[in-house]
Amino acid sequence: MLLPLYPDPKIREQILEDPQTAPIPDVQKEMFRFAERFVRGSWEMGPADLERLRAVGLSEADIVSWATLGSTQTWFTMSADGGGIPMEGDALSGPGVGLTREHYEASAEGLLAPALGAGPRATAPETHGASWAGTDLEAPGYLEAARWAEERYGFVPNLLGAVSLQPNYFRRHQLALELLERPQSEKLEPRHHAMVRALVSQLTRCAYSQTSTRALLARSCGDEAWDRIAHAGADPSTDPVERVVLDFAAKVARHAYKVTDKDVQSFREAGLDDAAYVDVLNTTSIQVSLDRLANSLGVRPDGEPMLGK
Amino acid sequence: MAYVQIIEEHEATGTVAEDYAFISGSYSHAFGSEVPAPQVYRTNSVVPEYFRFGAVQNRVLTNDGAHDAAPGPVPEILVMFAISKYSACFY
Repeated sequence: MLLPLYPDPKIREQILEDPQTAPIPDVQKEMFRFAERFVRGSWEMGPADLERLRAVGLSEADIVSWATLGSTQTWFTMSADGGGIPMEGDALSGPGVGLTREHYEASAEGLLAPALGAGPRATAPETHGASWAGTDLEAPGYLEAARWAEERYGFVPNLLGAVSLQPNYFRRHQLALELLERPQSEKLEPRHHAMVRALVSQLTRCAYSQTSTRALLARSCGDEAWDRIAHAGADPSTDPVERVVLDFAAKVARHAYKVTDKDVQSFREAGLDDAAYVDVLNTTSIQVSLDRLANSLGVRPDGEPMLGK
Repeated sequence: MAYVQIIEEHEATGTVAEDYAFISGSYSHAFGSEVPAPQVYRTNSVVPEYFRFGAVQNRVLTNDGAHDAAPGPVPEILVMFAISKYSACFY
């Protein structure tokens, strides 16, 4: 990806090492800063992060665009790492610019989300609107998405208002929300799916999503499951299938680059199949992608959960 | 060798076959020559609903394969690179 944009290998090296020291425009440095916070700890982002973007000339639509692109690319990176796919022969990133897997493993140190219990609980962002960013609640694309949501959930989620300046992405967000409503494979039980969503939204500390994931979990497993879920993976009394599923979801959410073929094998040994593995991988990656989007834009939690009809 | 079972183009049916055709067409348009669907999409080929999700994301990123988005303050590809960099994604 870098090669066509930065033909000078020295600049590429500086960007890979630390973009803030590279001779690139300020707007690009701010973009790298935004991306780092988006990936490493979106729950720590606040209105000041968006102010910095406005200060280098970004419009409200640009800000929503970067958050939306970040959300989309989150899914791609997790699909790639979770699937263990081979590199493209003509790649313009990774080995294509001379990097080895060791580079990525070394650079990844310190990128990990803190373990549950080591960081703050999710807190709702302070905003009177749908989010910290600008909106256009009269745009035809938004109104169409709002009608869809009203029919499906009985209300219009603030998430849709928060991304209303990028209407082209509504079909992506709508499909993401639909896919998160239930498992998409035969062997993954609804309670396992609900546990994955709840665990992930706790790891991402996303107050916005927790309204829905807590309600979904309570419907499948009871009210007390919310507090148990964080420790279920380490609890020897946990059902083996549950433990495999939750361990894997936590691994993908925190550091997908650590996934190996042994993770797939653990699914098979627990009686699950590849479709169930792909289901957990996607449930996790879609949930993380939406949580980062909501955290980075400061989306105000809805008063009720999105559970679908 | 991918970790999971992959349904390749010649085995695909239904929506997976449709989505393979779209994704390949979209990338072929961008590169100006015939390009198969990239590996990253194939991870999900065993569950058609998620394979469709990948195709829909390509559609929104490329305006249904037209690749005619107006340039933003930073190239979109650089934003995506930055997310990959901080995700330590080898691919």
